Amino acid sequence: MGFTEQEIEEFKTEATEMLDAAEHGLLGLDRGGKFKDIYDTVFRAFHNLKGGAAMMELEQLQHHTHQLEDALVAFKDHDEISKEKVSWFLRGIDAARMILENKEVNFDYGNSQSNAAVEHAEPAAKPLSEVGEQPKLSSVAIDEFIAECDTISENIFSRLRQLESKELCKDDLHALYRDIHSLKGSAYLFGFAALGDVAHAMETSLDRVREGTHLPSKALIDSLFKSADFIESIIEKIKSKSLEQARGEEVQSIRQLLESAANELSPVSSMPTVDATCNGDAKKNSEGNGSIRVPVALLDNLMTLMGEMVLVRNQVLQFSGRSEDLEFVSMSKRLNVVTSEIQGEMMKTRMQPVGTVVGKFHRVVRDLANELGKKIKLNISGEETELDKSLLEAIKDPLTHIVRNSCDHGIEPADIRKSAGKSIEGRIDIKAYHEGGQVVIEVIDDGGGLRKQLILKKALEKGLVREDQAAKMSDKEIYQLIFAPGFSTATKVTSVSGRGVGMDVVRTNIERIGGTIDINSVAGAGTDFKIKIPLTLAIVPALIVGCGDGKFAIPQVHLDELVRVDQMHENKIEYLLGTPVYRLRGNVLPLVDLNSVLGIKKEADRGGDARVVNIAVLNADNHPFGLIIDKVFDTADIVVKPLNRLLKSLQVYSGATILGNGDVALILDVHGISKVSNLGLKKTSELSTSGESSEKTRSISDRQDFLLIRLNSPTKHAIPLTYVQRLEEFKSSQVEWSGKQPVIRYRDIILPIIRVGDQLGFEPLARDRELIPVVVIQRGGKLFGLEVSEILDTLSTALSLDTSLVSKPGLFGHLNTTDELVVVVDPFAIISTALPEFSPNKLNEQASPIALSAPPTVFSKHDSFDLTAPKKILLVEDTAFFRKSIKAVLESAGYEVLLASDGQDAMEMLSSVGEKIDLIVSDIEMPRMNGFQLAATIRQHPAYNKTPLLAISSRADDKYVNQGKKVGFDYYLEKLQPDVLLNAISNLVNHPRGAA
Amino acid sequence: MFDTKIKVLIVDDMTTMRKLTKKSLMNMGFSVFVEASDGQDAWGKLNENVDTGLVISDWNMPKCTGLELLKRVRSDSRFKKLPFVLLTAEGEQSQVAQAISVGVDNYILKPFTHDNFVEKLEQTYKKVA
Repeated sequence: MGFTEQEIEEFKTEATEMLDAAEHGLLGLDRGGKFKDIYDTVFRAFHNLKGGAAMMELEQLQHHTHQLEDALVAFKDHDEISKEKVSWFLRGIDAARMILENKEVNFDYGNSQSNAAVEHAEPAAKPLSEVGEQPKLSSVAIDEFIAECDTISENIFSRLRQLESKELCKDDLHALYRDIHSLKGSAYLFGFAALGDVAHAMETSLDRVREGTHLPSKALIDSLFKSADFIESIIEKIKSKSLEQARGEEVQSIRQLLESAANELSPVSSMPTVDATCNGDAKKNSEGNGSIRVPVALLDNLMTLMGEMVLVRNQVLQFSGRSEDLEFVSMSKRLNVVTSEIQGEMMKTRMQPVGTVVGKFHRVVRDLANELGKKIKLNISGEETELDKSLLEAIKDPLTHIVRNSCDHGIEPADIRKSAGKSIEGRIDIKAYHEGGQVVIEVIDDGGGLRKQLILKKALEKGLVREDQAAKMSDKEIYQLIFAPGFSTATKVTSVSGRGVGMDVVRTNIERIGGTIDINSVAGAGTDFKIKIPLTLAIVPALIVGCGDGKFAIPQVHLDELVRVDQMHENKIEYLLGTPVYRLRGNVLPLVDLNSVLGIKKEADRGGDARVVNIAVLNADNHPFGLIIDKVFDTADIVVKPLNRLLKSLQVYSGATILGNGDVALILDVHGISKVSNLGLKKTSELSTSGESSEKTRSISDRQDFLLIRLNSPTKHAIPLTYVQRLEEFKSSQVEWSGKQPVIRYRDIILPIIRVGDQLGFEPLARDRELIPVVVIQRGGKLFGLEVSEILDTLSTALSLDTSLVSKPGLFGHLNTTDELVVVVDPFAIISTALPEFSPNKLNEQASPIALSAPPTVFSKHDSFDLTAPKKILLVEDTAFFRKSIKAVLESAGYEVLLASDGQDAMEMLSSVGEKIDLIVSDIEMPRMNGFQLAATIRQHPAYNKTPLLAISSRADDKYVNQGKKVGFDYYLEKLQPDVLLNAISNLVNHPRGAA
Repeated sequence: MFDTKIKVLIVDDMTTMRKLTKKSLMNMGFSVFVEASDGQDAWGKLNENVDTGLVISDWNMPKCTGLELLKRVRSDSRFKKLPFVLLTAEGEQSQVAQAISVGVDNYILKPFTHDNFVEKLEQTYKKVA
């Protein structure tokens, strides 16, 4: 039997519904549905599918569902089906869906009752024409068939003529295609293979024309006519009962003709001839009144137009407000009502029940629970709550992620639940409901709750928070950490979670559609994820406010309340650390002036009406803040228009709209304003530490000082100030020569002069300068003069040194300051290359004539240099710059240096290196394990409790020094005087702890 | 050969099957159809259309199966002679005997082609006539 495409589509739709019903039934088993009823439903679904598939000649589907049916029959007289078996059936249903979608399916029937049938399941790949054995035909059927063929062939001819004269509209083209298609079907059915083959070739050749991508060519139409002639001749033969089949060659030649014509079609961008508009009696699909399919794009267009309509309505309303014409006023009222109704109905066309997404979670939860060996019951309420289709699609993945997380991390394994006195079966509730013009979807599990300690530990490890911050975080803030990029609390990465999609993506996706996500968790009792989503994005209720001369819209979603503050009143705007705040019912509300955010005018310029201030209390990510605005106008439904590209980068606007009077108003982005005004930042720093003190410690530990110098290069250079002994300016006449080495008599020593520019390969300096600026550097007890072009300034910066671009020896790296790039020079390396004869070992042989300029704080004093064998030093330092420069200092003195980036790293190294480490130099401020902790740990360690420990830190007040001494440091030095450091090290390695 | 003016009641819970059956019947020249989605529905439709001249019913349906429908039809004096054809799938062949004993006129094994559908109906009419 030949089937039209429509019939096949209809069958597929029905088959999908039946599979859904079967799946639903099977899942019902888990939830304790009545076995007999469910069995009947599922059986009928499989059975009918089998029958239907057989009718539709879908062999693969038929065999597949047959297998499923057979397997199910085995349970007929049972009253339950094992979990594994239910899973097998569910997989079978999935496979059936795949088959329906014409996808390759490899289903394991291993569990099935009869494996024999599997072999039948091979797809019927035989070309239809070969099956064409002459079936026994009743004469009636033949007559019917011939009559049909006659009609069809007539139709084909007339339509081909239309096609030729370019009068054929799209619908007719489809009809032509259908005719050929059904001719093919019935021809094959009645065993007229030649007829079928020709029809099939015609159908194929029309494919691209029908899709509208190609124009029908003359050659194609000619060959189609030829084919139609051929068909007619065959039909004539059949009529005359000669039943003589056409010869293969003839069929073959016609097929080739069609093929080559179809291949030479020229593509078109638009198809004017085959237009969808058919005048007159175009056959319409009499599809009744049920439902019709409409492309989403069309709905989107309608929605946009609806937005325009709302705008016009608003304008008319505003105009009618001023009008005295009663008739006009009443008409505009009517317009208002009708528009609102259309708007409401229009919205509904895009609405879908949340159940279409959350309903699928029954299956997700069930499969996951099995996989994880847990028992989990899913309850869904409010499935009928409706949400805009595009929003629904946007939250599908985030929701799935949350549900999966709840199953995997939330619900505890059965034994833990049991010992905690809970029922073994975990429970996840998904609730959807309306609240305040938004749709709320909650995912609640009764699992172990979020583990705060675990979250904190992870966050510390990943460097998301500092220890001092962590100690002061509230529960809510800790929970928020799971949304930080790259965060995952699962200690084990299972197939369920840890698939690279973190909660940060979940939050980003939800926020992208204007939604929010909130977590509540009670240890041992469960976790509650609350997602709030706006109903739609196209038209939103908003408050129109004024600031300066402009009007702005604040989406109601973010607006908590409006406060009017009288400055004469007791409760007024106050200033805390320079920031305006307002005490709102006992809470301190940070304030932002919209004028200053938008740069309209300065706060101070506020006119005479400064006595009364309007504050809109807004909510960004659960951090409320007040926005000071000049005027409050009205609330309105505004139509969101995309923002001009130029304004997008400003962050403070999320869109634009047109108001009733035709004015344009920008829509304020509440999150953006909060971000731009640094409110979020302030918030975290406030909670993390006691405000300013943290600021201070930061600056101390992170600031580095540099001496800015000019070399013969357009780029500024710098020398870390800690290396610099003195700055001098010598007359060029003072320069003397010792061999090839320029020197200067300096106090009572000979100071070798090194031209830094020469060492770095810059153009030589002009020799005729009168004054030579020299930076005096001390290394290994000896002084060196570095000649530069100019000494510019000092630079104190918190910027970290970027070592990634360094290409030359003699350079540390570069600083990216706000104005320019500064290249940082490594003075020791410059000295080493310029004067290789001053190698560290040689240097050490000479006694240092120079006293230490800043005596280090030492606990024990030793004073001799003796370096016989290279000693191994472990350097523990988290800042890349210091790590590099200290390493350079140590290596220049002939030590072998191992590096660790923090205390924990150091401990790992100590235990893994296995070699003797002679000395450990450690920073104090470090993540994970700081210097004090490290020292304490090392002193506890049997293998290293005697190893000399040296602290170098930018904090060197008594309190720290004493603390250092207490935990076991031998020396405590201030960062970073290379010479002092080397001296101290020398003391320590030669007089180890305990030996003195 | 057939009286194609008669009213045919098509009973099946699958829309596709109903359509295909109808298509075959239309190709034979039938034009008056009543459709029902299960046995219970069919009984109701039958009582509204007592002039029905042929029933073609699926076997396995929710609520009331084809066999149960057949029993009900045969137990009603109005429909004692109403030609009744059952559509059955392979697995149900063993039960055909039961159907025959209740008074089915013929049965058609699914999947059927247009030809054997026609054939079966011809048989049925010969028998009834």
